[in-house]
Amino acid sequence: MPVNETLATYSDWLYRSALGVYLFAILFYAVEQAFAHAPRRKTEAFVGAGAPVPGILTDEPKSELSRSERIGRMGAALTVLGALLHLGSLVMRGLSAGRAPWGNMYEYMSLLCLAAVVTWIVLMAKFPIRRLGAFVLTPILILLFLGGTVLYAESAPVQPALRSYWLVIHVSVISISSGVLLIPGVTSILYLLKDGKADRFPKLPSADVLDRMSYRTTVLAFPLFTAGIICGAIWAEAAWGRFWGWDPKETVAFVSWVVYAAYLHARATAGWRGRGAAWINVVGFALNVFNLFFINLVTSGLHSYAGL
Amino acid sequence: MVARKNLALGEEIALDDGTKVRFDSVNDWVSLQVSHDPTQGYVLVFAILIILGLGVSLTVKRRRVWVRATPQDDGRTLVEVGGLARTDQAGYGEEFTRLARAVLNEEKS
Repeated sequence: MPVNETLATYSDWLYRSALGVYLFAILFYAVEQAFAHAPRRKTEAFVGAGAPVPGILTDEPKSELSRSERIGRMGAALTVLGALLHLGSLVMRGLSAGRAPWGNMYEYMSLLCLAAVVTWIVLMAKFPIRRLGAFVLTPILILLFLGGTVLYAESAPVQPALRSYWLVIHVSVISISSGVLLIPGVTSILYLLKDGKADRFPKLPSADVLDRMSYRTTVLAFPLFTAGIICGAIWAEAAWGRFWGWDPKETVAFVSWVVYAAYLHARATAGWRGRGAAWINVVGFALNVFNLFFINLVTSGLHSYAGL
Repeated sequence: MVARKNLALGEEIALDDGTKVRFDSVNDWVSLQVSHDPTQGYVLVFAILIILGLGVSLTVKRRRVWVRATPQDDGRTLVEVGGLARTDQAGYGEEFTRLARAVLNEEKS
């Protein structure tokens, strides 16, 4: 099928616009983080934020939002706008090449980052953690930047080996679950910074909130990741006649699956709860990044054709 | 010796050291790999069960409540309530307080 160049160009424009908008969102979040007052009440003030809690009312009149609050909201709105542009770029990519838009590493990373951003938007709506936006969006922006520069690939049909409806299922599920798992990686790092010292980094949410966020997100992504690996095994059986061949990618995916399973167990085990579990989640995050870059670009295996 | 050239059928190339390489013929061949796995169906069923089980085990909240009512010598009843969350669900503390209150209120009526 011929590639529709016009749509491919639109896709690239939208990609760049999304990156720019994310960058502005990060700046807005950072300004909010920098200028917002730390909550005056030490214990879990963030949980009660929004509700009129006696004792922590600010000096301003209630109806008027503080400047940092307004800037933070602008950051959140920009994040949503960026996500829409980002989605548009993926859709245009898919339309221009006439296939699912996750056929090479650039598109894979784009989908992964979109999943992470959408997860972040959902979490922002559920937890009072908007100020962390800069910490979460920065790694995403770095990934997107690397994807758009070093790993960029022209819109084109996929290789014959990948022409299967399993590409649509397996790759999208793995990519989305990896994107969702990026968020608990970041919040676990923040948890490790914050944990044990309520006075340290007073502008971060309490360790409890960070821990709960990491857990909720991992619980959502883990079954998805499992399903993605199983879909890959089914595709492997259909394409190569065996479910599992200890291909480098398969091996590292298995290891990170075990690590995330260990995280879920650690959360329920006395002595590992808290710091131990957070470290395990960070290890899982590192493995995901390793799997994404090292395995795709350095080792040669059956998954490397998905690379450049 | 390195040389790079696309040879048509019957053509030959002489390398620097005098070695001649001639393209004689092409034999068509195909490599077929056939596999049959009669357990595929089972694997699929159990794979789906794994995912469902995983979903259930991660979403269902398991928590325990114990209530022990002991008659006292003076005719009153001592009610003890205990609770334990078996899975990692934050917020059981508040829920337990609510449950305990509900239990104790029923005792009164």
